Amino acid sequence: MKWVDKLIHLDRRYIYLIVLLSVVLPLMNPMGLPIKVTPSVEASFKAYEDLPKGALVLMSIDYGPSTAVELEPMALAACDQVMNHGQKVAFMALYPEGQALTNRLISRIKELHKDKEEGVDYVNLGYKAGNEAVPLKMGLDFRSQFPTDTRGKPLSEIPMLRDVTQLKQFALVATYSAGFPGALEHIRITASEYGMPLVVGTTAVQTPQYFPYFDSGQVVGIIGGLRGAAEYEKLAGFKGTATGGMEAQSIAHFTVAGLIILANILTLLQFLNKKGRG
Amino acid sequence: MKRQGPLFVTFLSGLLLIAQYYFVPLNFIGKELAGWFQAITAFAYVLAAISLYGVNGKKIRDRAKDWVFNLVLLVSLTATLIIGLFFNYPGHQPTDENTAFYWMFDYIFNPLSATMFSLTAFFIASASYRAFKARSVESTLLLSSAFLVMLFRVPLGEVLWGGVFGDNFPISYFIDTFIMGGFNNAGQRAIQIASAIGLISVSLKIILGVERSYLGGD
Repeated sequence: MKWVDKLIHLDRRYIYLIVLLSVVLPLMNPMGLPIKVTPSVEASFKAYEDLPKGALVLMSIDYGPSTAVELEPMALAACDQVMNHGQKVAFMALYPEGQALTNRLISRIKELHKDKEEGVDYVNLGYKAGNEAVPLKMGLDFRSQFPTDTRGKPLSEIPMLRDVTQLKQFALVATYSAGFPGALEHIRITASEYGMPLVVGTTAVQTPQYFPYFDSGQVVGIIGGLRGAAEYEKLAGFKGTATGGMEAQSIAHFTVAGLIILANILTLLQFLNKKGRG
Repeated sequence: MKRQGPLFVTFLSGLLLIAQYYFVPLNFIGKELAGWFQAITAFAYVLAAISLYGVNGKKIRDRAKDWVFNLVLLVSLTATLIIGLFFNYPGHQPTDENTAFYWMFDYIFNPLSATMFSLTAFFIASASYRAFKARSVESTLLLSSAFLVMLFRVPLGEVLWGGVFGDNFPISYFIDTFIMGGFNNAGQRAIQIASAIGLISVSLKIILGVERSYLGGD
């Protein structure tokens, strides 16, 4: 059967076109699909929600532009939640690109919460080289790692961090992580060594790796991929990009699954055909 | 001495770091060495940049195959370094908004990086079409669990499942409890524990000088 062989060896450009359409069309025509919340995301949301007004949150922005589409929506929804509840957030980064991406988050905070002030409600402490050594030293002396913010202002002159010398003065640590260094370093040191409550936001690909730590209670919550971000947006009542993105991902998943089924049927037909001839 | 020196430093550092973990009075060594580690990490970036100039510079000089790409890499690296180091804005970091470095990050690095990562979706779709075949029991099991997670952990899958089976048997509960919380957790733990044991074994070999490949071949 010539057509079976032809379809099995389908030019990859047709597959690319099908995938492109499966992503673009749902983005242009949103269906408003409902999002169900999973326990690990609910636990992450609750960890922020239960913090008292004025509590300090340390947010580690450990991703680059390539994974920002998954991780930025969840970080932004959490930032909005923190600002709405009158808590304060200090940003840091173990990832070199994290510092610039924190600026992007801060720009959005400025747009959404015009009443909030830099240094009073949020601050960017920037990137620190050293991978796992950074959380290790942070736990011993926080100011040895971040003596100033990114503008060179000493922590003693920043109202929200004036009295902070120890990591344990933060009520919650959250890492939005795309890989190394990031979530694993915070799990091993920030959460396990220093006993800090830790929320992990991570890419969909890495999520299964961190589930055992949620099960064992080493992390208080996991937000996995765009799906997790969409769930978080729903819980926080935040209108972000993840909810719309999940529709595109839904159709793309079904498209890829359809292609795999088609390829398997074609392979079976080819096998039966060869067997019949043999 | 060229080889014995680094071997001795490695042995001593490894031994001290293990000892400080078990003996509280020696804890200060670990804390001190963490600071050294940070300094070495920062220097590694400088070393990496020098190495990039060395390796790519040689290829450009020799007019090796596709040397133009090496040239593009070095020009980009040099431009980024110059802009980051010398285009100063008093009271601002290079990565602050409205700086030349930030412009470069936002309008060049950002879209390029996102594009490179997005391309994997197309490659994965094409590779799945060609390679993801149910040829054995193992691959059929893998395919089935991948299908369940891929189709029913997205909103469309949940809506379709709910439409057919109602809320009596939520598929997301099955996936979360049995696949992600069961098989996945068990597998991940096995991998993590096994790799940790492997890491201990390799570390011991390095500390004791049995494994010497990190010193470079001769």
